[in-house]
Amino acid sequence: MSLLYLYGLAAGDPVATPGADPATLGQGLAGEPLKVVPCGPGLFALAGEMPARPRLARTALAGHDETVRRLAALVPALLPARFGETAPDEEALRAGLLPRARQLTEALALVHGSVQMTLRVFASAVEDEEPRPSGPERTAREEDAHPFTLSAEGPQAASPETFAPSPGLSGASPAASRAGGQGPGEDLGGGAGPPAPGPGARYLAERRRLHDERRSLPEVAALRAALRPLLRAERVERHEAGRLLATAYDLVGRDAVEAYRAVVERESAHLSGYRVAASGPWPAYAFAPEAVP
Amino acid sequence: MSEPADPARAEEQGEEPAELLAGADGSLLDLVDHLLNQGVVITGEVVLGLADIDLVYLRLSVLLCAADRVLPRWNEPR
Repeated sequence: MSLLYLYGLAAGDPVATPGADPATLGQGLAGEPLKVVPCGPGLFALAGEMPARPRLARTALAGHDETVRRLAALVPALLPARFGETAPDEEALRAGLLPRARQLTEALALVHGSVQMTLRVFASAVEDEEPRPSGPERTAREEDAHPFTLSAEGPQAASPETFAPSPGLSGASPAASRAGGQGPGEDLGGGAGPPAPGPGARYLAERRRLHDERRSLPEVAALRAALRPLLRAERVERHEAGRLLATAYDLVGRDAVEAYRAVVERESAHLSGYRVAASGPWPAYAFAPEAVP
Repeated sequence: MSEPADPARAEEQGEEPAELLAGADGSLLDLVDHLLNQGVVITGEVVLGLADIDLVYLRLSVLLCAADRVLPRWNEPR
């Protein structure tokens, strides 16, 4: 009995995609031959057959990443798979992916011709070892409904904002909509100026504020402004405690890597109280739809 | 997990999360973050076992906080 081990998803028709010829795919982390698994219109998987799921080990992780990198270089767009993702057979693989085909296809369009740079921001001060106030309770899935946003601030936003409301976004709940300042009792009227925002509007405004706050990196604003022209998309995660304040996963064109590094090196010399570490290029691990925590 | 008698079999048996991340350098930390925390999943099931994943994430969060000791410092002369 064998399993299908997933390395990544690619866009298009595998027959017509240069580099997707099974003869050129090579081997996976366990030396297994790789294969193409069509997963519906415009989507195919790159996988290998193994007798069992690989155990968590450094060499296995490195082998997975090496295989993903090699495959990413063969196709125009690749969404890397998380380590350890398997399916009993091709049918089960398709069944698992098909419900998210639209989101996966959109994500593939986003990462086309791109690579990921990972930027970590650290505080220099020792006092940041203590847990930082986390603010109001948050629900991860709701708060990360718009994971790949580039704000429109600044004259050189690299790409339009991309918003993909998740099914779990409670801000879109019927109750919130009904209470959005337009329900009974909310309209002040009488020529007293614009009506005060109702509870629904305040709720949505607060959610938006939290959303923006969790994706902000004011500590390195100048650096981010300098990087912005290079970015096709970005995901920012702030961390709750310790010196690691935040991580920015930046999607850049394959030919923009050196420029990205140069900007980081130049701008980080001006940081005070913070330091940064950039790694990459990586395959676009952080831009799979389910990469949002 | 018992120590394998044959070191060559260590990789086959996998590593305990603490072993995996012990002495990790920046490249391994990034690898663990990207491969275990990101990427496409098929069904969303925790495939590596709850105990392993939880320990890796816990350890990773601690190590990432301390990673400034091992990751290159871009704002210092090299």
